[in-house]
Amino acid sequence: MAFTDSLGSEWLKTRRSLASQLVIVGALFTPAIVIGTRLLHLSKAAALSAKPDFWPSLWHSCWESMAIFFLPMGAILATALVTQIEVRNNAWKHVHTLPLTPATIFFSKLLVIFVLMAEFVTLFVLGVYLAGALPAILSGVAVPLNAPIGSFVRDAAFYFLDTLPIVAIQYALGLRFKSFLVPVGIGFLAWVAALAALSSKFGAWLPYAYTMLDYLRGDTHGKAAVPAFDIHLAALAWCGAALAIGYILFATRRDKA
Amino acid sequence: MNGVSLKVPEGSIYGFLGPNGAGKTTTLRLILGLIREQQGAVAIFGKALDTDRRAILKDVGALIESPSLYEHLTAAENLEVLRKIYRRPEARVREVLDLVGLTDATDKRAGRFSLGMKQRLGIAMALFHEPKLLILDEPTNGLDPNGIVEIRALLKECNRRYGTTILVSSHLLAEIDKLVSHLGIIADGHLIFQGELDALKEKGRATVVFTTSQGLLIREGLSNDEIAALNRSLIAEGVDVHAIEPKGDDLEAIFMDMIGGRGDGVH
Repeated sequence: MAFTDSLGSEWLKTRRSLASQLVIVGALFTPAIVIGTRLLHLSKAAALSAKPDFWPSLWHSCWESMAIFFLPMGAILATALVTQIEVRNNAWKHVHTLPLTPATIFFSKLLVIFVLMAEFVTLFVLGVYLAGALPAILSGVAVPLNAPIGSFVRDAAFYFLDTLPIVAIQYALGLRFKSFLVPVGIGFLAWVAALAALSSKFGAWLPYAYTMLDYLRGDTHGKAAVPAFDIHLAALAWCGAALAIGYILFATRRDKA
Repeated sequence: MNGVSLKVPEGSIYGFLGPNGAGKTTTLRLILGLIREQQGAVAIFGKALDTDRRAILKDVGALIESPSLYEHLTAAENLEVLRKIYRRPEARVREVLDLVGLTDATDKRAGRFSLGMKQRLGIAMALFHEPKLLILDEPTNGLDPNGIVEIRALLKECNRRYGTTILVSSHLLAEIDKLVSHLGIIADGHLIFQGELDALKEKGRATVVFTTSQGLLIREGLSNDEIAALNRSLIAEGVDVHAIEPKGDDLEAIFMDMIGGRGDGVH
């Protein structure tokens, strides 16, 4: 029960926070651009809607910027912003004097970040649907009803899994360093390294690469070296390892204030 | 820290006094488990902090240095964060805001509060769950005189109305003098006095200072006859006595005498 109490308390702390605002803006940015572009070319809406691959094509093009940039960056920034709520408000010393175990504090805050990332992906999926439906509705064209919802939900769930190692590593860094810039800087460099290594055989071993590899898994232009192992399992393994290290560092810290 | 054992009587307001760097904040942080002791152990309510941490912290409220407020949340939301953890009824939020005089600021964001309001909200958060023991580190730091008077009145009210035991550290002698019933004085990591404030003052009153041609002569616990006899013997020995005066019950003088003039930052 203490965990759910703490979870409710942690969730309340994100109200009006930069992290919650970032999630909404980051998730809806790409769909908003697509909607804007399609509204500018409203006359093409009928032709676009008539294409048999209307939804898969829209889905794939929207995920490009999301999987390569917005999702990893969103995970890096949202995680740093959530841990900064305590740092910026000088509140760690208060959190550690509450009758909660270190595990409750650590995992309830982590779960809040997971929920924020799930919200990020969910809002994006809804945004993609709007990006397909809104221009059609506004131009008086019937909205194509052949969207492969099941496949989209599965894809979105896997992308969410792919972000977990980023969240776990950034969480450990965010709890370790007081400065906002240190975890964000390390995260950004790790993302650049993963991006640069995508086409090499080492790319799949980098924890920041999985959303990009997931997007490029069907690529035939050599942009990414697709590994023989399951990248989602690799993402979960990285996530577990980073959380174990992060928790040990958190629970054994000498100065909790 | 060396052998510091604070004996804070239930229902008392215990002042923890010492010069800057004496170890006040370190002691309070050790008590709350915010830093780990290198040797020894911390026990509160007769329970070891290492093994009964959660049970102890359920009965302890704390405000260490500046208040820990979520500035993007309103006053009520800051207390709601605690309400969820302590499982108190919703009415408790309003009750505590009334107690600290922040009823009108219920829906105002904490980031827009004045320093005094922040301090009051910090105290509201510390006593939200009706703790048996309230630990406050320099709660009047940075406040104007009006704010200091308000916080003092608030703490006395909590102590009187709810019987809350309060452990308050400060380097403000006048503040401690007006607030506390018991006192602990720390210097260089050692507890050099602990007991009732009145007893300390009585001790000061019973101390007589002879100002003589050969320097100061300080004697404790002398009766009037003994003072007169000592005066006569000094004169008989050819020592000029310039003044005989009780040391008095001035906390500042007592404190400075106890810490041997190491009162950096004590006012």
